[in-house]
Amino acid sequence: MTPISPLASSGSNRLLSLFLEIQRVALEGDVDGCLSLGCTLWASVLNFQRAWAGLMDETGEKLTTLVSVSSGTVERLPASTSNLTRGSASHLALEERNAVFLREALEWRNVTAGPVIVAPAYGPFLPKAILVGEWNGESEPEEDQLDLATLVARDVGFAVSAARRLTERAATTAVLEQKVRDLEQRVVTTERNRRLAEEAGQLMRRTTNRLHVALDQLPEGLAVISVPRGSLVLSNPSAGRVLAPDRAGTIRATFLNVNGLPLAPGQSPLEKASRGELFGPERVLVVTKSGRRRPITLSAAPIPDANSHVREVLLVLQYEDEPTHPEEPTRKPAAVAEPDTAPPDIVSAGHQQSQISRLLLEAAPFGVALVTSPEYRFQMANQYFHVLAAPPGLSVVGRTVADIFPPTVAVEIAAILDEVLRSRDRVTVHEQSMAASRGRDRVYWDVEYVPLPPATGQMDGVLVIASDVTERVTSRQQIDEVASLAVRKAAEFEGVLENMTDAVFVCDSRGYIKLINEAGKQMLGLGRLASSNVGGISLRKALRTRHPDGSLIEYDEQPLKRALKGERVLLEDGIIYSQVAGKELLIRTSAAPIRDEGGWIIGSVAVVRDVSALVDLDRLKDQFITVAAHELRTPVTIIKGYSQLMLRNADKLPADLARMLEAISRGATRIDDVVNDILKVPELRPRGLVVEVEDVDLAEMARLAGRRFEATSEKHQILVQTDGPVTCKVDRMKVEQVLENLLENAAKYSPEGGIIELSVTSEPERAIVSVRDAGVGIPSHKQDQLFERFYSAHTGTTHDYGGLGLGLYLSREIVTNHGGEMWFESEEGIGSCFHFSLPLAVANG
Amino acid sequence: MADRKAGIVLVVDDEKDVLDLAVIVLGGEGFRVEKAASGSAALDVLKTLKPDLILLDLKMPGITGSEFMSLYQANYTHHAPVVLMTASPRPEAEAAELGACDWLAKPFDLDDLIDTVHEHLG
Repeated sequence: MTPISPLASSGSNRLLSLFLEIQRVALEGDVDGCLSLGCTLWASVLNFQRAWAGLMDETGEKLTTLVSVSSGTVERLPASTSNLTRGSASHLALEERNAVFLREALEWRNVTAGPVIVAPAYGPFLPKAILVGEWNGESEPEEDQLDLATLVARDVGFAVSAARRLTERAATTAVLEQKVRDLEQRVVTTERNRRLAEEAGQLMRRTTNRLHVALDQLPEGLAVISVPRGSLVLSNPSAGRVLAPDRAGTIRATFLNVNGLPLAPGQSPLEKASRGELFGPERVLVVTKSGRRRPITLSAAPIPDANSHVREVLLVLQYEDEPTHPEEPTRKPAAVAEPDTAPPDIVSAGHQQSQISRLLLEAAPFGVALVTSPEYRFQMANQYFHVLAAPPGLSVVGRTVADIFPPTVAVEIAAILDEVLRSRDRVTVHEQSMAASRGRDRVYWDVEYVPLPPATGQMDGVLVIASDVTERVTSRQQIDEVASLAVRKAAEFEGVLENMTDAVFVCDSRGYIKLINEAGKQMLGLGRLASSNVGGISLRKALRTRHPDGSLIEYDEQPLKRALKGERVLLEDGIIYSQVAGKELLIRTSAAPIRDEGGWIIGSVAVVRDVSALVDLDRLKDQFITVAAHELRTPVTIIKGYSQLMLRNADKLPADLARMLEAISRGATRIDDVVNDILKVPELRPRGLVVEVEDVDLAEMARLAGRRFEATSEKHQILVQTDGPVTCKVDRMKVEQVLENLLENAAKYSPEGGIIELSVTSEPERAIVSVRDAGVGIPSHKQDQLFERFYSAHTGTTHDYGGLGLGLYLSREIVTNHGGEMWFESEEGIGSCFHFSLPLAVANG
Repeated sequence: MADRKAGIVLVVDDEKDVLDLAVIVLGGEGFRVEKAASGSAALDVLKTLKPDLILLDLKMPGITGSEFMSLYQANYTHHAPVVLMTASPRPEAEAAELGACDWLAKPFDLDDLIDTVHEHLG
């Protein structure tokens, strides 16, 4: 059997343990210490009496102080209490112990059962003070910062009543009797004092009742038994039921050891305690009046009087089994011991308890409400529940679930309540979805539905305990959403990456390649297995590329490396040897830095396209065009030459024959023009173009072009608008060609003739040349393709005036190669306006 | 017809029609025009003929224009100025490269042909 440490348990055992402390002192032979402690008890009792008596003599103020202690703030407790006990104990010790039980009281906020009894502030064996700790409902307890000041400790008066009860019941000294008599005498002497005495008497009765309530709530049995008579002086119901005193107060229960044998002579609890020894705590069997044996843990201790004579013994009974129903239904089995005491003020005690419960509920950081069947009407709800559920400004009390909640939620709650009442089991619903409230779309509660024990004549009730977990639910939902989005995006990204025909390389800030897609591995000749080693490939080793001219691209020149320094690399050509292809590939690389949110470069990415085939094809095509054009030129030379030769003698030819020859010659010239255009295509490829630049005044060039143009076209009139010289660094021949192309187009597509406007203007950094016609215009759906090679917007229409569709393509290529742009506006039937810009040689101020 | 003392022009081209055209046009201008239908034929002619000007087609089967130029420069003591007749897109560059004094881009105008010859034999 494990001995129960008296100090390890709570409640009444603590009382005993303190008492045992004194007894140990006594057993150690420290008679003086024992004596002094024993005296302390009685001295404090006397002190109380003195203080009480003094109180009667004092002004009303003093009484007020006492009253306010019983319902006041804790700061006033030590001072007032010490007032009662001055000279009997160390003031400091009192305060320290106060701190201890106040701390414990703070922990009781999780205890929802009725009043709680605290250890005595000090004193040898009976509570000098019993505190009922509760939260002050008016001040909000801080969640994580429990402040003593927010605790309201009540009923120091218990100490008073405890002492008084002891005094009244146990003390037989003449001094006390005299004091009481004196008190009574004084009470009646003056009218004022009588009134005070009345109030004091009421107070004392009330506090006495409170003590009863508190003691009655104790699961342990407490009893004071007079020795050697063995009659019950004082007991709580828990002890009274078991000890079963007869009408004379003699206890009828007997104790056996755990084996069911009688205790050895002289070793019974009462006998031992009578001798001044301690009994237990020890497991024994108590034989009740009905003969039933119950195992209990029994402790007994002597209560010495002021002269250290043991006249009474304190018994503490701890039950191991469920307490039996009262064998004697009387509430006060020790009635004989208190024949002259007023019956307990049950209403007052009940009120006290319910008030405490109410305050506890109000301060609770979760919602509590009571609903009763059949309508599920709210009978009560604490403040927090109102915050959770009540419409602003309304109380839920008196309303039904259906009044408060929207229909879907109300139905759901009602179904749960039905189930709780049917099964009599509590139901916990996590994250129950409630209606929208206080600006939130959706509100979630963790709700516990607790059925109240059924009581006859009362409606069935269910406690609804709710806390708001919306934030938890929504943040989890958000996290889920973000996570699934991230997964989806990653999958999409990977899908795109792996299916790209372009190779993608990503390297970290140190130049180690961290990611290569499938196309990239193909390009480098890495197998699928190599992907796991990707993290270790240094850029220095992996991408050994060369310039198109064959020279090695140094590490610092590599696009990925340059991107790490912040550069954006666009379509740069290089050569790489591919093991897979078994040959060198011409690659075109773009690269860019990868930055984090803060803008720091954390890596770089390169997209590499294998353009070998493209380049081969391009070269082949250029070659074909060159050969084809060349082969065309010789027959054109012949046609043109002979027709011109014949025309040299035109005056000798019939007129119509001369016209035919002229037509042949014009046709040959046109073929030649076409051939010239075709031949310029390969020549104009961006990389093949060599621009020979010089300072050219575009205004001057425009005027000359206008003059030349006017000489060739009879139907069109040209208006040239310029304001002063506009100088650009350009290839004169090429820009002239652009201008002529635009003028030719303007004329070609305004077949009726008309005015063509040519203007040269300048902006701060560029010159703009515009050619406007009032011709047929370009259908809007064809405008997008206008600058494409071999595209003519009017092919196959009534405005098909021939041409290869190369003019605009070539013009724009030329302009782009000069760092300019070309664009147009056009409306069908209204006309077109083509513009091109070129950078000024010197920017305008 | 102008007088014939103006000079001797050797025309080298694999196209018979072109050769005939040159003969007619330049002959009409009073020049003495000799023809060669290939590079090797031209080199043969030049063994005995010392022309004042050579009109050379660049693209011919057998010995091409450029091969003809290097052989002509290397193996002959008399060097007449050469005008390239070419369908190439960059005639001036080719002329400079081969050491020709001038060029005629095919298809040329008859006036251009006449003017060019006059210019070099004038």
